[in-house]
Amino acid sequence: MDKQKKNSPFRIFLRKFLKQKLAVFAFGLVIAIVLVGIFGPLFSPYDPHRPVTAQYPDMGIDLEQLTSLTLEIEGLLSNGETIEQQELTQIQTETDDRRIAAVRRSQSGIRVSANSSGYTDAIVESGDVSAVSKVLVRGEIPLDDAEPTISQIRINQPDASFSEGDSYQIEVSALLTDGTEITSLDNLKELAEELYGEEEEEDTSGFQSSTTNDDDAASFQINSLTEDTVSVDEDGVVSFESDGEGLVQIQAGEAKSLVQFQVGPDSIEPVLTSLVLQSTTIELNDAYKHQSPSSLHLFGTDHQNRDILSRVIHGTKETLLIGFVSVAIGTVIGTVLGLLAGYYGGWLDSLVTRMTDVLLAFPGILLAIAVIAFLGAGITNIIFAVAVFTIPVFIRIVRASTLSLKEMTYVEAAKSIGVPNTVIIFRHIFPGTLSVVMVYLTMRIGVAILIGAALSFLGLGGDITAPEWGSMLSAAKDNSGTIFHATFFPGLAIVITVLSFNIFGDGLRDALDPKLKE
Amino acid sequence: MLNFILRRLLGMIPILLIITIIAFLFVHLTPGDPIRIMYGAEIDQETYQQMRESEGFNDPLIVQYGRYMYNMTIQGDFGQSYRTRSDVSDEVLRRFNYTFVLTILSMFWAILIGVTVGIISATKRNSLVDRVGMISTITALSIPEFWFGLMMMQVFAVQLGWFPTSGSGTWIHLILPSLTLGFGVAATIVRFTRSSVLEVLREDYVRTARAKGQKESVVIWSHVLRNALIPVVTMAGLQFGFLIGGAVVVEQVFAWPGLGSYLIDGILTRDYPVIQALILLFSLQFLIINLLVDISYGFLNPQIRYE
Amino acid sequence: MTMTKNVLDIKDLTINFKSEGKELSVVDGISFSIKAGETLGVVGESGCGKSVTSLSIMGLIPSPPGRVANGTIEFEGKNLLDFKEKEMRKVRGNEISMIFQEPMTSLNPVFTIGKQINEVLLLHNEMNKSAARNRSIEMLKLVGIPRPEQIYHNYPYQLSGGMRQRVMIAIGLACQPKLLIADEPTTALDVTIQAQILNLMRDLKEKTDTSIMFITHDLGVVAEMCDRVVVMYSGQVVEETDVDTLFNDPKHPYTLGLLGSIPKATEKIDRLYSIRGQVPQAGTVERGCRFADRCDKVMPRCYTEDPPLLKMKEGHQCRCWLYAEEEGGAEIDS
Repeated sequence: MDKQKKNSPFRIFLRKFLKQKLAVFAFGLVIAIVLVGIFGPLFSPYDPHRPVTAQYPDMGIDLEQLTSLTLEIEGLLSNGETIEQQELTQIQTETDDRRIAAVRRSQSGIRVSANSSGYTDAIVESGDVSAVSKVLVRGEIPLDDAEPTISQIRINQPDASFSEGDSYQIEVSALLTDGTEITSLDNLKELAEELYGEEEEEDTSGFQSSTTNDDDAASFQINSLTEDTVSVDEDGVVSFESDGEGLVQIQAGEAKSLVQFQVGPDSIEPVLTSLVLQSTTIELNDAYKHQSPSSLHLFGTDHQNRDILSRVIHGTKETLLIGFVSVAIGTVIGTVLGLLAGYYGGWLDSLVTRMTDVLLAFPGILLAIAVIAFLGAGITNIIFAVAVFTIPVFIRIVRASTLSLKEMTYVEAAKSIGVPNTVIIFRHIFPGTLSVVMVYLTMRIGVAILIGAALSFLGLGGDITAPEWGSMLSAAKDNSGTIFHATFFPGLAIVITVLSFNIFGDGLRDALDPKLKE
Repeated sequence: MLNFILRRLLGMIPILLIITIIAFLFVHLTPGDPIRIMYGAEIDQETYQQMRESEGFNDPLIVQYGRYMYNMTIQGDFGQSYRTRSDVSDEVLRRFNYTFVLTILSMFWAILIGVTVGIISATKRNSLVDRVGMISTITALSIPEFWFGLMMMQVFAVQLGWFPTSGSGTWIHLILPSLTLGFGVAATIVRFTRSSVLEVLREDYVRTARAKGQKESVVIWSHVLRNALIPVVTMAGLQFGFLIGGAVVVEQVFAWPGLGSYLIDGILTRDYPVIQALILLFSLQFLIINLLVDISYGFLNPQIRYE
Repeated sequence: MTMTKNVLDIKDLTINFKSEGKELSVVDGISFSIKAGETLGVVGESGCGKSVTSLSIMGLIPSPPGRVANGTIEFEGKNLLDFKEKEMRKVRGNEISMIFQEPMTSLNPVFTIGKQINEVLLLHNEMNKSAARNRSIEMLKLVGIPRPEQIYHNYPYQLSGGMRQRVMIAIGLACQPKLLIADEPTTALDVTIQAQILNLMRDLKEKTDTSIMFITHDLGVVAEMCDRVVVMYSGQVVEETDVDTLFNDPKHPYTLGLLGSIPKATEKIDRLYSIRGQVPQAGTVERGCRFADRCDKVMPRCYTEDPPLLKMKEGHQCRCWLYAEEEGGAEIDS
């Protein structure tokens, strides 16, 4: 009795199947994917239809924290002392491009907030001095071509006092936003010319030729703020004209610093000579669009800032639905037609075979597109379209195995004792075709998912905003051309699902009947 | 042989007739009124009736079908696009070249990769190469073409900048779309070639060739391949039809101005004359491809050639 | 005819095949030789190792899973097993050629008959295409094919099985080999065609003086064709003798059984004799005589000790314990 159990066809099948490690693994994946399809929406971290930034408040995530950064600043006085930012007055802040980032004064310094991806300069100004920090906002736009700009100019402050008729060579160094230092005036000039001078040239060649005189766009300037006490030439040689306080300003791009001279014996009040920013580069993330994969969003977000992981999870149901339902419809209709055609033969058989041949001559995707062209776009129509080209596949295999089963002795025996045809078909022949049908069923699900995804990729799925893998890819193609993660993950989901079904189907086939292998 | 071709050509006629009827009825069975699509929904009832009359929509169906067939076969007129009002036949002719070049090059890749890998896999059966090859093919068959295309674009166009992302014009534009279109078929050809070569390797005449003292390379390249490739050619020919199906998707990915994107645009805008013409054209293509496959099969297999 | 010179000398040949991780000896230490101009019959049931032996002479054992584990195959004094693949290719089809059991599938369906005969000629002879063509047509004439010029351009499917086997013989003899191995060349043919082919081979042998190793399971064919016979059972030689002795004074119970299973026209019996049981799978019998389970004259000793090959008389050997104590029964191998 026990031995009989051991050798039951099912046991043999199970043993053969379990031998194929890869197929068993694929089967596990299939189960997991189905579970995700059913229960996934319960666990999906975000609502797949709304931008994540709109969901952050509900989830207790501080958007501000994600997109802003506070930067401490301090001032350097001519007597070598530093002053805290609280004591700094007249602080003015601005960014080159407000669409990318904004900057404002805050309690502990300045606060930079990202608006969209790209790079810009944040400028902090206090009176006659200013410093620059580069703001990089990660996101859609690549930041590779962001060039360093001049962040801070440092002028060597002489301790001694000067008298009328003296001259003095200013020593300058500068810090760039990428942290490199420029040590001589000539180098600084050259760099400033290169960085900002070109910009002017571009401007003149363009339609905005009037901006050449704009003071802000000056590439390099060195001038005396107190013309009656000191004068300065282009090479930084200061000549002292009369007693008093002398101030020389050097400007390169947006950065400005001062140097103070005491001319004559009278001591003078120290002034603010330069601003020091805590860091020269600020890196922020664009939280409003195309967030890169992070712990918050494992798959990143899409062009409408929707969580891709959540959309993939929600899309599982839709994808499996297309696969299962269309193949189920195709299998049922195909099997019934195949059984009838194979069993009864005659005109029915030749009609069905003819139809099958014609349908199979067309590639599945075009047949499905033709059906959609008739029915119009929409997910139910996709299911139906995929079903239509699944039918002939099943007709063919079921008919073939019916033809051979029909000749079996037990079927002939049943016929000879007058068992009705319908009973013979469904009790004696149908079970014999079952194993082939099962194998093809599994394999066709993979194909159905592929075609279904292709149809929605082509925009034939109706609702293009739906969290469906094919539509997601279609939207990503149109809106996220350069963003890798937006196109990668939905496609990966398709590949893993289809591959699981295919390997599982292969394993089933080998276990059920090695002869089925081509 | 000539007899055979003639017989096959005659056999195509009824199928073509059925397809023309389907394509013709298309306009009448699908939801949406062609006049409204052509002139917009806001035209008044009188103009609407006038238009229906002048476009011939009020005639009996059989008369309309007759006119449709006459225009098409005698005049070579496939009607005008509802949307652009341009001749569909002109547009189809212009776009046909694009699709044709794309599918031919894809087939070239597919056969080149498919047959080579298939032969190597079969002759080195169960080796590492073979196993890797087999796992790659089942993976390749599970990858949607459009996603593969997008990934190729990401890597080779966006990141490396070797190829343009999309568009047409030079042969460089063709590389990524044709590789994308070809890889799925390549996988199918690998599997098919492998099993075909393995089957032939077991044949007695291969042993005969070896017993003659023939070199193994000649045995494989002459005796085995001549036989093993007969079914491969048939299969590759049939895959040609499927390439045209795949082209619809790939053209969309790479903005390739071929027939596929014309069809999809036509469907999305309910441009019935376009859909009609393309259904006919695609059907005709498959029929011709199947015929060519049968003929080539005859040339490769002497048994059929002489019957 | 120099009867003393051996064309082929096989000694202690052992061929192993790997199957599910285990190596089994399909051919287990066989020795025999073929003299110039002689026809040697190799007889045995299917699976006894006779086809594998013939393939090993050609160096065509599929490897893996098969390999020659031991022994020598000397052809005209040189051990073929030492030959490199390139040297072996010069022997195949040229000095030793082989015709197979299945004429229907042994010719390549996509090449013309002419091309397939030319191939072997061009491989082993310095001749141009037209010379090869003439020689091919000559060969077709020689093997009794009518309208050879026309058949030259035909494809195999246009020929019957018997005709195809004639073509195979033409290919085999095209380069005038020293040895022709015929592996059941008539088994797949109709009886009348069988007789024609056998006659043809006998005629050709007389004309060309080629030695033939004739593999068959049909003792009737042996009686017609062969000078000497080697009887194989489960990878071993169990009896070797000249053809007269085989039919008049067979010694081994297996040989007796084989002879007993031939229906005789002169006798009317109810039931044809058949050897009971089945051939054991190669390598499964660890000890004792491999035929013991099926033998009518089995003794206890047969199950425990391997029987040696015993010399019955000059040119007659037999592997059986029955003759161990007999007069003149001297052990040949250990």
